[in-house]
Amino acid sequence: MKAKKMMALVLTAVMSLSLAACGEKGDTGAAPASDGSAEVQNTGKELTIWVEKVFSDDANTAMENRIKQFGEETGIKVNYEFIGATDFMTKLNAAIEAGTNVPDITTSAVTKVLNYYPDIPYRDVTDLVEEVHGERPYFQSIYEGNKIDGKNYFVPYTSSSCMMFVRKDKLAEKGITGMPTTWEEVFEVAAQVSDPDNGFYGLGIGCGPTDEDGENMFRTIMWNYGSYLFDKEGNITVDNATTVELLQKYKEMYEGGVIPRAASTWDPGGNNSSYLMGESAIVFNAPTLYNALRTDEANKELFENTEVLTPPGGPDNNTTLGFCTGFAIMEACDDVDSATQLVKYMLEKEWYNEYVGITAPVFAPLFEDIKEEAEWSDGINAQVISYAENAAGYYGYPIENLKGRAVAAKHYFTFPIAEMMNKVVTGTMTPEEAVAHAKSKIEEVQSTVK
Amino acid sequence: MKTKKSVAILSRLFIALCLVISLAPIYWMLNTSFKGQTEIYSRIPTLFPQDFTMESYQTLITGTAFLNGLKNSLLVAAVVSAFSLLVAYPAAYTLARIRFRGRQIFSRAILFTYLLPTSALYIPLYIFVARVGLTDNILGLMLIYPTFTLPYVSWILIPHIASIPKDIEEAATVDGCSRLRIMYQIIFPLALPGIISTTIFAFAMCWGEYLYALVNVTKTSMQTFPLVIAGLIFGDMYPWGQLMAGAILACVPILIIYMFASGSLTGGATEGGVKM
Repeated sequence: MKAKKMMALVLTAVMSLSLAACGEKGDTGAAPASDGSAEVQNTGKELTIWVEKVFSDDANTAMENRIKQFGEETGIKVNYEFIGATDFMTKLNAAIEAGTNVPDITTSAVTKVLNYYPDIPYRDVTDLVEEVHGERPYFQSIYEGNKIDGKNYFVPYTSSSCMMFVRKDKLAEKGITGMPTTWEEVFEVAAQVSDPDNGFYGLGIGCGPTDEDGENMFRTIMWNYGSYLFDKEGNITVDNATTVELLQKYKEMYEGGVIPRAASTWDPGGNNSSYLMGESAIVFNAPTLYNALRTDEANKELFENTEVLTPPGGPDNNTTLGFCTGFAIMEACDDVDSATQLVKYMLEKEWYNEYVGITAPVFAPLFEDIKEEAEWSDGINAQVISYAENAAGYYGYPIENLKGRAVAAKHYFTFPIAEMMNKVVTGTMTPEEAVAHAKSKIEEVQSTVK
Repeated sequence: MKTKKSVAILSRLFIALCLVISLAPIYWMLNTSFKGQTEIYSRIPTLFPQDFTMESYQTLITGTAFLNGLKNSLLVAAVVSAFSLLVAYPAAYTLARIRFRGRQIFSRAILFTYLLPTSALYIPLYIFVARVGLTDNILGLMLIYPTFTLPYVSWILIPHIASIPKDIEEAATVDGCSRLRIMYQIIFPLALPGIISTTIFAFAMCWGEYLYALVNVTKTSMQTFPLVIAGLIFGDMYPWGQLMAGAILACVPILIIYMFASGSLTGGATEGGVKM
């Protein structure tokens, strides 16, 4: 009897829920505007755009409103979705692989484009980039740096950066008045201010297996010391004496209490946490950390004691990694004219300037003339502009040919440098072995790219 | 006597230790969900919130689509687990009780279907759902999820049903009971603890499912709660408070179901039912 009652209850619940679920479909179909479509006059045209969510709700809302406005002004129905960065590529890959529900426009970046090589699913938008550049010149690093084999596969929009955050109060305590401008100085200052017995460390560069920040920073250090994973032709050159020396240096700093012990387990958020909890004197991070310091009243003192600078240089150069993203039109797009119209609409000068004002300083604008704007002429905004303007590096730098760059982009997501660092500090491998291991892993990727 | 007492004390201590270890992550989730961002990032972690705040819950509930995500998850999980039970029970009964050619093959096929990795299936299933026009809809998920719940429920129910003494069934047959009545009126109630626990697990599998939902659903209004929680992460400054609050709230429905169902999970209904 009890069982019967329970079964009846379950069945009733299932039927009710099923009906409710069916109702959901009708509701969504009847009111698409509440869920990401901007439709006023139906021209019969329709676009779908997937935008990678950025850190700020205000920025996402501004972008959403702009897309809606486009729909209202043109009568083109625009379906839009804001998707978290961690999920973005999985979703896009599934859609591309299935050949269905592929959006017309997505946000993209050089590495993402190259990861699809040789079947790049994005349209060549070189003409559009030339047109934009003709009307409002990009920084040269952006204009040149985002070409792949002479072509643009996305229209550059904004660029993030990796800045150096320094605890100036801790430096002052040791009588250090100037900020470090070279890596040698950074290492020296970090060693001086370290106090591992009291849980304070000079340098917060991590090496967890997925620590993208650590990966990028050590790659930059390698470049600055003249060590590259590849040469211009795409040959693997990681196995060199400089890489070994730098890994040895990192190990010494780790073992000497200059780098936090937990750094070997960090993810990309590790250095942020370390800095915010007052554990590290110098970290390298996107200006999201700056925002966290600025916006939280509890971090006021730390914010006041923080200096934000562009990363230092090395004995060979001061090349830094570019983090430019933009809008790409997919090959699957049926209405390229409308898609082009929307991308240009997003680049309209007045609105663009307003938008980058909201995203500042996490994202820097990419146009030469913006440097003249008061908002971007000093403080951290000027620093991030300077970073974007000078960030000539890319994954695989300095490879010039397409296939080589594709190899670099594809191997990037294995985080080979963070792995090398990790193996060295955990004593799993010697620096020489770690370098040889990294080389063999890159060779594996290389063999898969035809 | 002394030894018995010592063993009892040691057993209790061991159980307490196991409980502490298994509940520690949940405690830490709860603890973090009531802290502000600054306290979360403080150098010395605090065992209790120093500045107790409900801000994370407030933001999650009022500033995100979390509640809608919970509703969607509940719909999908309830419908799929109930459907799975309706279909899997007769299948499990047939494989446990009826001897026919190919029974072993069917039985193993169910296991192999269950073992197929999600990563191999998500693209074909995405294509399938797209072809029937159900992408970006929870109905599409209701179509996909049985691909893993059905084999799971069937596979787990087979031994449950097989463990019920055949004599009971034979007695019912002698009394003139049809196969269908035996299946639903005799065996079903006896297998109820197994059925309930399996259904709860099927529910939990759907409840926390991520990859299929991620690939098939884009619209915010159609997202299940794992997608909403994952969507809170953008950039490298994780909103730990909200993430933990989301995880805590997401545990509640499962806990409620366990609490209600626990009374029916007692086994031994067939003990003494047949002569040994």
